[in-house]
Formats: sequence, C-alpha cells, structure tokens
Amino acid sequence: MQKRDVSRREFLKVGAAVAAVGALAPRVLAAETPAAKTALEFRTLGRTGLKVTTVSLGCMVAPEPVIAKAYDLGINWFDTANSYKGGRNEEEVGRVLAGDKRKKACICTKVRHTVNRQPATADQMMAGLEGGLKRLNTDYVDLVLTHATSSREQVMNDAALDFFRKAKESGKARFVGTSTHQNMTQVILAAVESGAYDVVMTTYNYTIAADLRAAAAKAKEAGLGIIAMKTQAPVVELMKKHDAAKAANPDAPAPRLPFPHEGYALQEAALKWALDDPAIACAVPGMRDFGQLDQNFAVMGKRLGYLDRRLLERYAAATARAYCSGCGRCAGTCPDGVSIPDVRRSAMYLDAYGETKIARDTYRAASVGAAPCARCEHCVAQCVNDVALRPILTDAHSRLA
Amino acid sequence: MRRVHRGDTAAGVVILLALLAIAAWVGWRGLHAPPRQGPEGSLKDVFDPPGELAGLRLKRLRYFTLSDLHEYINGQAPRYFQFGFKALTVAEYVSPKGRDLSLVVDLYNMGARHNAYGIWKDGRGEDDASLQAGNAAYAAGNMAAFWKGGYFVRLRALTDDDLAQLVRKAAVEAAAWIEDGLGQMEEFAAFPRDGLLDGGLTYENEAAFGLPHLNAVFVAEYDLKNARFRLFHADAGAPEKALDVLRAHERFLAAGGTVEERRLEGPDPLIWGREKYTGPSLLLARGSVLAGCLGLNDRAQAETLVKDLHARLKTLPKAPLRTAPHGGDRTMTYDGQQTTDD
Repeated sequence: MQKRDVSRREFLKVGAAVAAVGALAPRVLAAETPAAKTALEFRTLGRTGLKVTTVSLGCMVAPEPVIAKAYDLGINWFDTANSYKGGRNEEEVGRVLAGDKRKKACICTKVRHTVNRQPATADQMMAGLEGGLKRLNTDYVDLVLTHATSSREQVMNDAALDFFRKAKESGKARFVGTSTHQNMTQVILAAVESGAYDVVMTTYNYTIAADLRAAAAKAKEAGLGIIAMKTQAPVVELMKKHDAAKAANPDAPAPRLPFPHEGYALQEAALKWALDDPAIACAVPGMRDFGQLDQNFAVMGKRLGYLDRRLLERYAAATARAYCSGCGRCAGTCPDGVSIPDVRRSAMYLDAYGETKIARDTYRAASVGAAPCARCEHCVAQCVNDVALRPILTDAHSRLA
Repeated sequence: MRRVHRGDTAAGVVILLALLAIAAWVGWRGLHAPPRQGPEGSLKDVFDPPGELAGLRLKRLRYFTLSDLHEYINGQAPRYFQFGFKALTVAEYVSPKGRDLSLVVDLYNMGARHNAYGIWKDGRGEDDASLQAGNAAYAAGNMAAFWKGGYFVRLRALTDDDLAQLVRKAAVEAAAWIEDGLGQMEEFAAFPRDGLLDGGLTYENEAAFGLPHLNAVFVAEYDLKNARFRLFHADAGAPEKALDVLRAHERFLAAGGTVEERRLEGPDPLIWGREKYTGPSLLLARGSVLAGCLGLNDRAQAETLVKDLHARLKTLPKAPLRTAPHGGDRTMTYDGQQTTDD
C-alpha cells in the first residue's frame, strides 16, 4: 500500500476549513473561559491602597446565593446602599460576608445626602451610615459614598465633608467618596479639587464622552480611586426596550438590534471596554443569576479585540447623535436660561411616544421654554454628545407651546 | 514527486479567495451595520392622577420610562426593570393654603399584578408597619406604599413635620383611583400555612434564587421544626416548557452539584439534587405548572410538600375571584394577616 502523504489538495482543504472557522467564529470575544479557570485580576483603588478585583459585584440585584458564589470565586469588592430593597440588600450582604469572610471582603455602602430635598446634615448622614453598619452586621465599611451627587456644590458641601471626617475618625468607614450618575465630569473634578475624597463611583461605559474619560484619568493621577458602574447599561436598556416592544406588538416584526440579541457577548464586551481603561480600578456590574456571574467574572480573562472595540465605538457614535442620553450636562449652558433637559424630554414624549398631552404638560412645566431659541441665530448651548440642540428645541416650542 | 493538478490548484485558490471574501464581508457587516434604536416603550402606560388628594392640590407631573428611570431612582432602576416596569408618573401635591408641604406620589405601572406585588414587597423594610390601603400596604414615618392592580404606589411627604396621618389618609384615597377586581394574590393561597414565616410570601419575576431558568415564581418561606426551606411554584405556559425548565435545572445541578434523581418521562417528571449555593432542591412538573422545594434535606418530605402544593394549585379558580369591588366571603391568609374579602 502506498504511503499516504498529505497532498496539497488535502492541505488546502484543511487549511481552508480552519480559516473558515476562524473567519466565521463569533468576533466579540475569545473562546469561552469557564469561571473556575479565570485568573483573578487586581488593581489598586487609588490612595486607599486596597487591591480590588477588577470585576467586582454590584449587589443590588444579586440574590444571596450569587453573592456567596461571587465571594468564593474570589471577588473581593461588594457594593450596596442604604436604599436598596428598603435596607434588606445590606442585610443580605451582611449575612453572606459574616465571620471570617468579612476580613477578606471589602464592603461599600452609600448614604443619602439629601433629606426631603434639602441637603442632609452630617448627623443625618452618620445616622445613615450607622443604620447601614447595623444591617450589614459589621462595625465598619471599607468605603462609604454619598449616594448620587450631581453637582460641584453637592461635592463641596460642608456637611458631607464633615460627615466624611467623622466617619473616618470613628473608624466606621475606612475610606470615603461619592457616586454619580449625572454631571459626572463636574463631580469627579470637584472631588479632585476637594482633596477630601478617596473614591468616586461613576457611570462609565462605551457611550461616554471624551471629557469624562479625561476627568477619570486626572482623578487617577490625583490618587482617587475610580469605580465604574453602569458599564453594561446601554446594552441592557436596549434589550429591555426591544423585549418591551416585542411584548407590546407580538405580531409586528421585531425591531432590529444593532447586535445579536442572543447570548451575552455584547455585555461582556461592554464590561471589558470599561476595564481596559487604566483609570478604572474596578467595575461593579449587577448580576442577577449564576450565569451572569460566571460570564462577567470570566471577562477578567478575556481580551477585547480590535473589531469588538470598533463595533462598540460605531454603535455609540451612531446612537449618540440621534439619541439624548439624559446626562443633563446641557442644563445651564443656554445664556437665555432655556430649560434644555425639560424641553428635550417633552420633545421625546412627543416624537418617540406620540403622547401629545404628556409632552405638552412636560413642556409647560419647564421653568423656561424654548421661545428664546427663535431669536438665536447661532446656538451656543453645549451637548457633550454632539446632539444638535437647536432643532429639537425650536421644534418642540412650535408644537408644544 | 507528486504531480499537482492544475485543477487542484485552481480549486484551492478559489476556496481561499471565497473564504477571504466571506471574512471581509463579515467584518464589513460588523463595522457598517446600521445601528437602529428599538422603540423606548410606551407612555400610554402612565397614570393620569386627579387634581386633588387628601385636601392638597396637584402642582406638578413628571414621567419616567425605561430610558430615564435611573434619573429618578438611580441604581435601583434595574430592580424595577426586573419586575417588568413600564412607566412612572410622579405627581406632586401641595397645600392650597400656602403651607410649606409637598406630598409626592410615585405611581409605578409595573404591567401586571404580580409584578406590582413583587416590587412592593421587595422594598419593604423591617420597620415598616402594615397599613390598610390598596391590596396591601406598609408605612413608616412620612412614607407609605401600597400595591393595587398593576400599580405600585409610594407616597412621601417632603417635610420635617410629622405628617404620618396625612400620608396614610392619602394612601387610602389614592388606592381608590385604581380599579382592581381581584384583590389579593390568589397564587399565594395554595401555600400551606403551617410554619410559614411572617412576611414570607414573595414573588420573583426573573431568575428566582439566582437561577435563570426560574422566572415568574411565587415563593413562600418556612421554618418548620427547625428546618428552613422554601416552597415555590410557577406556570411555564406549556408542558413542554415545563420540561425545558426541568432540563435546565438538571444542567445547573450537574454543572455545580449533583443530580440525585432524574425522571423526565411519565407522570410527575422531576429533578432532585443538591448544589453548593442553593442547597437541596426538588422540582416537579404537572402539565405546564412547576412546583418545587428548596433547602429541605429530607427528599421524601420535599416531594410530599411539592405534591400537596400541586394539588392545592389545581383547586385555585382560574377565573377572577370577583369582578366587582364587593362580594364573596372567602377568607384568605395573606402575608401573615387574616383578611376577609368584603
């Protein structure tokens, strides 16, 4: 029998098959890495010196068994707040991280900085922290944050700074900071300026503007730790809207998504995008089930490819120009005082929902409508996402005033 | 030397070029696929509140949807999404006499009664006292919250004065805005009461116990003869889907624990096993309905409880208990409180 050498034909066929698999394989991320085989990745949380796992846990939606597994996998940063589940989330975290586990895990909680729409006093914030400690069944937290600040004034507030000092002096909080969902750049820069903050937790995902990235880099240089949250929010929100539209009109063709709806790959890519930024110490994605925990955890062992990044950037760019993200940073940028966020919202109600009455009510509730826009030949109002404001505002005025 | 046929070479080149073209097309599609924004949900689901409440007048209305709920409740928004949030109306009432007082009423349309119940229960703190308003309510200080129909409603008086009485009165009055001919959650009536913990009835719309295959689940928590466990049930919609859930549960146990009994054919298909984080679990399907027990080591007892639960579920009326606000005299135990329908 003739010895069977590999012919060129066979070689080409095999090589072609391998190339085909490579070309058509899912682009978003590398092959599945089981959570158990993922190497932990740590970064230092600014001047706190704490070494935290880059993928950490936002406990708000995580049931206790998931929190417990997260700890066993090696995640060492657990984020909760006074207000989550009426205080029960702090109790859940406290139960899971009781005993010896407490020494190896870091807990972050958040306290309200306003009461009845007024700035809270230092004593009120301290009461919030003490209530949290009781529910967490611990005598200290590694980090306490004032929850959801959105202005320089709130960051610089004397009562907050006084609370921070007392929290640290009493040993009830090792480090202090703030969380922010709106006017993030302003908040971060104020925290840097203040010098009293150790950490800022901020919305940070692939839709953010360059100034926020620059602020985070500056904060890191100044020694602040930056924790990223809502890293996957644009994806999750899009999927929720997609599912809601399908449920509302089951017979209509499903609205097209820019990415495949099946699988979890885009959410993983979004998380990895945030963690690829060296300014970010860790992210705290919410994980409602074991599957999400395993997939998010495994992001530590994955690589964001060039095409993945380009896809995310392209999606962010295309949607940013058509879609207001509600960041609120346009507020106050009009010299005539037009209430841009409120007018924008009223336009959205009209255009996206066809709700004329609601849109009109919302427009009329705005403290300053868009009447002045008719006088301005050149709009100087700022949108950090390059949304063209003047057409939206003048159109809203013409239809809703 | 082996002869290379021209045909082989040509075929190989064609295959390579084709593959390169496919790869380029895939890459181009990914880079240039026009992103399209799905619709954002519907504002048709917002509530239109009356102009007066508890002697106060309506001053301002705001609306929030899937897109911007986080602007109002920050990091809690995802929890509301888990419970099927549709839209929020925020109505602010003020004193007509110029008194410095704001009563803010948040009317969350959660889309369905069980979702409204679920999010209402989820936010209840230990110190919140029960209140008679809506289908069920709790209150603490200047805050009250109830659920009724598909709505979860929270009222807060934004003042340092003690306005607890006003807030409670407003809650009762606001509950009357919402029609709900069904009253209490009949799905909870199937759970046995022996050993049921106070406040032990909950609903999870998504991923109950962290398990992605268990959705729209009614749960009851027990402490019976020092054994803590949970019973639960859900309707998968179709018998085949119930079997799919059993198979998913089997995979979950196999991945991180042990499957000790597997019976997917014949009557009463079930899965029994153990897993480190969820403990022992038994899941049994009858038709489209799943019932289960989590946390009980005694397998025989778990099966008995689950089969009893199935039997009770079968006795629940499918039709609404009543179609008018009043009528019927059935006594139900709800959330540890004995109530009698009027």
